Parts: sequence; C-alpha cells; structure tokens
Amino acid sequence: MIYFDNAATSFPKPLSVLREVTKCIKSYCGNPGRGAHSLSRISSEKVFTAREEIASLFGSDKPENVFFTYNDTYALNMVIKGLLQKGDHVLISDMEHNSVYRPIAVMAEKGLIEFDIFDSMCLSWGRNGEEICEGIKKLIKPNTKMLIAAHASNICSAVLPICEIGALCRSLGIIFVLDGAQSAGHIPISMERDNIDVLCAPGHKGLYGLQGSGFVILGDGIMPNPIIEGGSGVNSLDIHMPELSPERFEAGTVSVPCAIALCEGIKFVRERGMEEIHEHECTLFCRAFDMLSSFENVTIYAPMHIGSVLLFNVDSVPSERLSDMLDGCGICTRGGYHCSPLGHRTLGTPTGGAVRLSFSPFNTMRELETFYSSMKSIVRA
Amino acid sequence: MDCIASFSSQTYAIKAQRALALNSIPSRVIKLDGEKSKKGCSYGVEIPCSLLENSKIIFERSRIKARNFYRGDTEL
Repeated sequence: MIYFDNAATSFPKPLSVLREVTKCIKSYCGNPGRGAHSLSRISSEKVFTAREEIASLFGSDKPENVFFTYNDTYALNMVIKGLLQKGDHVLISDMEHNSVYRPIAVMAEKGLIEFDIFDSMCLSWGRNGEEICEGIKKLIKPNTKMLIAAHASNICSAVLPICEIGALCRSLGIIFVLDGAQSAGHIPISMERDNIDVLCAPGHKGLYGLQGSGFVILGDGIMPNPIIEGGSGVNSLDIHMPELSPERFEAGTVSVPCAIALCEGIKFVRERGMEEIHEHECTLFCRAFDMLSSFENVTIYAPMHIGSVLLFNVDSVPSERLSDMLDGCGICTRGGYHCSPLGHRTLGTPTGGAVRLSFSPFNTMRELETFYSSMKSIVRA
Repeated sequence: MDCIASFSSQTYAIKAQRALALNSIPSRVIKLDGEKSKKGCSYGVEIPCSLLENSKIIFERSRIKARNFYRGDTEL
C-alpha cells in the first residue's frame, strides 16, 4: 500500500510515537489534572511536557498558553466563537478550509458578524506579501476584529507570507489567527517573529500525533470565552470555568496518549529537521509534477507552489473515480473537494474538485514510480 | 516543617515545581485541602520553609504567580 494522503492524516507514524503511546497506555495513563496520586501526577507531568514542546516549537515561552483540543477544527471553532462578538467584522483568505469558512459563514448568516474574503493571489506567479497586504488593507473596516488565514493550503502547496500579514494585523490591532493545519511540522512558524496572536493546529498531520488531537496557542493578552464547560480539575465548587488557560478551555479529560504522541511527534520533526522534511516533500512534488506533466490530458493546479501537496485532474475522469481507480492499484489519494470549497473556487476546480497527492518524509521515489505506472495504465485505459 | 505555595491550577503548580527544580530547590506538587481549597480542587507546591524566600524570588523571576503561601495551615 502506498499512502499519499498525509494532508488528511499522516501515516505511518514514527516508531518513537508508537513506543511512547504504548508505554503510556501500559504503564502510567492516569487522569491528568485530577487528584494527586502517582499515576495522575505522572500523566499531568507528561501533558505539561507536551505543552512545553509545542510552545517551544512555535516560538512561545508560555506552555500554559497551550491548550489541547480534539482536532484543528475544534481549535478554530473555540477561538472563533470564544473571541468574536456581535457586530465584529472578520477577514478570511480565499483558500480557507471549511473549519474556518463554515463557522464564519454561519455566524454571518445569523447576523452576528460580517466577513470578507481576501485574495491570497494563489494563482499569481511572483506574488509577494506587499501585494497581498495591499488587498487586505482595502477590506479593513473600523470594526474588523480578526483575520484568519490558512498558512498553507490543503489543496495545493501555496503558502501565505504570514510575517507580513502578521505585522499588518499587529499594526492595526487586529487579532491574527493562523491555521497551521498544513504547515505545522513542514514550515517554521514563530508566534513572536510572525506576530501571531493565536495559532491553531492539528496533532495528527505534520506533527505525527494521533487522530483526536489538536491544540491552540494563545498569545499574550488573548483570552477567549470558553465555549465548552464542565469538569476542569480545579475550582470545582465554582459554576464558572477557571479564569486561566489551559484549564479554562479543557473541559473534561485531556487525552494523555494524544498529548504524549504529539510530544514524540514533535521530537521526530526536530530530529529529522523541518528543512529536511520540507526538502524531501518538494523533491517528491517535483518528480510527481514531471510524471503527471508527461500526460497530455492531465491538468495540474497552482504548480508554481512547490511543497507537500499536489492537485491534479485527468480530463473527463471524475476526481472521485480517479482516486478510486488509484486505490484499486493500492495507492491512497483523495478526490473531491477536500472540505475546501473556497479553495477549489479560487483554483478553478469548483465543479468536481480534483485529486490530491500529499507527501510525508516516509514517502519514497520508488512509490512515485509505482504511482506513475498505475497512472499510465489508468490514463491509457 | 514544609511550606506551601498555592496556584490557580495543577498546570501552574507543575510549572512552579519545574522552575524550582532548575534552581535545585526540592518540591512536590500536592492537592490542597481544607481552608487552602475554598473553591474546591486546588493545587500547590510543597517547599522546605527554609527555602521559601528563595522560592518566591524564583517564582517572580519566572513570572509564575502564586495565590498564597502557607506554613502548615497558617496563611503567611
């Protein structure tokens, strides 16, 4: 089996992740932040270490500002619904995933907020941060409270110039929320350098954690209202959630295996080197691009952006059908819309979507050769 | 006798313990009881009283805010 669907969930996971999760479940998986017996204490300390690893990887010196969620979508919803108030205006990019687009669009539909979509200039050769920021400036209103942007697209390898966008937001007092779904673990992100107020990311993609894990890192002075209430392990006699992060946002039991896996996944990224990972994925992208370009009836979308994600279609073959045929050859890809109707509209594939290849450090050139052979037989047939 | 620094959550108590450990001050995270836990389920760090003043300096330097300090059951 060849797995090219790492943008959805990375697979396989590093052995170090599997080992530590097994050890956790077998030897010390008590309830963190509840009680003070030995297993609870060990679990709490492991969870804290995971917060430290996450904070450190993303340029924050406050592990307590890291809170865990079930995935990136939960993380983004908690931030969006916990910070926005009636009458606020929000800017989102034209490449947003439904994890951002849906909550924002539904809040707007209910008349709670208004929003505009800025042009990421995804299809422009030689685009730059200055041009994108000029477009953003034109959409800013007196009530613009937040700008949300997917750092890297989930349907092509376009990456936004977040340093420039962050600086613009900081200068105007707009909260900059970065969705690191496809960039965390692939591209360096620094809360401080990039002027990020809130970073949301999943654990199970480029950080090699388990499904069911995600997190938020809050910048200084950002404190959303909790949207989920329940047991937090502290101040149990008070009906309100605690005032401070992380307990304010972690109602119910935090998953220790998920936190441990994320921690080990980050260590894997550090050891392998983010630059080396990115280079490997770019090499695979370029080879796949060459292979697909050899077919006359294949369209590759936004090929000017080289990275871990490549999107393509074969003329007159529905993307789901093509993905199914590749699955029949033992190759896992993803067809359709990838929960990103905005992005597909931007790339010009709003009808039928496309097929996505997404790579990880575990993919090889030999796997691509097998993919190429399979594509030849499919396209010729 | 040991002294206790109380914190807003177990996360802050662990953060405090790690800051102390970096400065070779022995401590342990405990769940507080009685008057120290008026809102229910609170956490603190047990520290030798002889090192309490040093510990306060470390908390301040590390920007870790303790809620209260106790010697036994007496609030300091």
